[in-house]
Amino acid sequence: MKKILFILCSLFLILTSAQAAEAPSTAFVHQLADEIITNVLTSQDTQAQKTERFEKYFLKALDTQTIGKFVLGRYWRTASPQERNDFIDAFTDMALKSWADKFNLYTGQQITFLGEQPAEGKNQVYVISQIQNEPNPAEVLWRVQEKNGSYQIVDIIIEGVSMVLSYRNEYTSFLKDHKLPELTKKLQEQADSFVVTDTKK
Amino acid sequence: MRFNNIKLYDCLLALFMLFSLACCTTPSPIHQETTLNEEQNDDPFEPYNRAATDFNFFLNTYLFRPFDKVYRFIFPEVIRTGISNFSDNLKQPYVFVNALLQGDFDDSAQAFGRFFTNTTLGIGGLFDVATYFEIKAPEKDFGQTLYEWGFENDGPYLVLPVIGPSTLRDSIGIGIGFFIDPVDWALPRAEQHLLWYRYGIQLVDSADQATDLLWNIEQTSIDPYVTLKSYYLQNRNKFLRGEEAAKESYNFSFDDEDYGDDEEFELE
Repeated sequence: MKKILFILCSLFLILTSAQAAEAPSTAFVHQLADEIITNVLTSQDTQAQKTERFEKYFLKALDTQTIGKFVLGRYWRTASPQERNDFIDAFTDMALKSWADKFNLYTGQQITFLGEQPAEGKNQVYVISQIQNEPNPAEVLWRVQEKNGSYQIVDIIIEGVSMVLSYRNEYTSFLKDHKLPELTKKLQEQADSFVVTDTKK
Repeated sequence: MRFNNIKLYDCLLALFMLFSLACCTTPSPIHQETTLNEEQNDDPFEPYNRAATDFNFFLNTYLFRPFDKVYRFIFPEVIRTGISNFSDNLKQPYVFVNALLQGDFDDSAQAFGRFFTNTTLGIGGLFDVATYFEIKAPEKDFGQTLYEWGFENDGPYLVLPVIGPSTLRDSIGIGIGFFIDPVDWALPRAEQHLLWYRYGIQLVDSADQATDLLWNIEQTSIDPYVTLKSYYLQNRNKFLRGEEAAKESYNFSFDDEDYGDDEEFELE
């Protein structure tokens, strides 16, 4: 009995020290993922409540300014401050709703954190994680930026596919023969086309 | 119903040879670094590719997706997983051969072990026992074999009807792949029609896997063609060249001058 207790105690110590040894950026993503899994993905609340909760995490954890600026490429430069703000609002709304539409895809997959790698740019790192998937796990990198002691995500790379680069390809290709307000309008229309329902399985 | 496999394969091969000839005679300006960035991207087959992509999205919306809904409704997940396992298991001999051709003996052993374990203990491949025994599931194809043999240039982006996004080299790989699949050899001539069932099952399974992704892209993208292409090329780049090379494409600087900064705007 004593032996079992000892094993349990040391196991607990190892676990807690492993948590403590996590670098700050990893700890940030780890906590975020845990909270979203508990409070959104596996929550029994209505879709509307979950979406609302997810929105708070989303807006706080993502640096939408930096992302919005990058995805517009050179078209950012020629846009007026008003156009930029409108774009970022519509873009954020669209991304948020398209993610919220996928909560039900989560079926209990575990996420494991494997360390960090430096990234190009000031105070940025890639937090390396693996998401459980049969038969091979999926590799997900979280590009995290530190600013005055707080952390924000600027890109998510899933199996080599950068979300931000993909958005940029999509939007700059569209902007070759369209104006920015047209893009913003299209994004807003898409965001509005998502209907919040609870009938989904 | 009678199909003449060999004839179809010959046609496919001839088509791919033609493409490759076209590629050889005009030195391709495509370099892998540029294919990932839409702004500098050359896409010589774009008009054709867009038509093929539209066709594939059309198929997905009006054929695969409704079919998949019925499929998911009729068969419980256990059975669908069984079908998926069966289809995956039949791919292992092909993975095995490609791993050998690439000199990757570790992966070839894993593929062999996987096929052996799942075919026997997993009852003809219906159960994925190999994963339980921690046997890896390596992914190999002949396009990758060509890459390993020194055909490092992907060639232009090329969309294949039904099959989906590819590149010129990988399309040639898919074409040749039909010929070197051990499962095809193993079948006696008289039983060749079984191949169609095999490809049928594979199609059902891949449709089941891909239909949601395609639907999602169509619903959320301003230009589904560009998005699918971007996803495919980035993912394939990582698959062929590894994490370090993939990093070159996504490890951009967020405050590069190219996309303008606030200061410059305020000066205007």
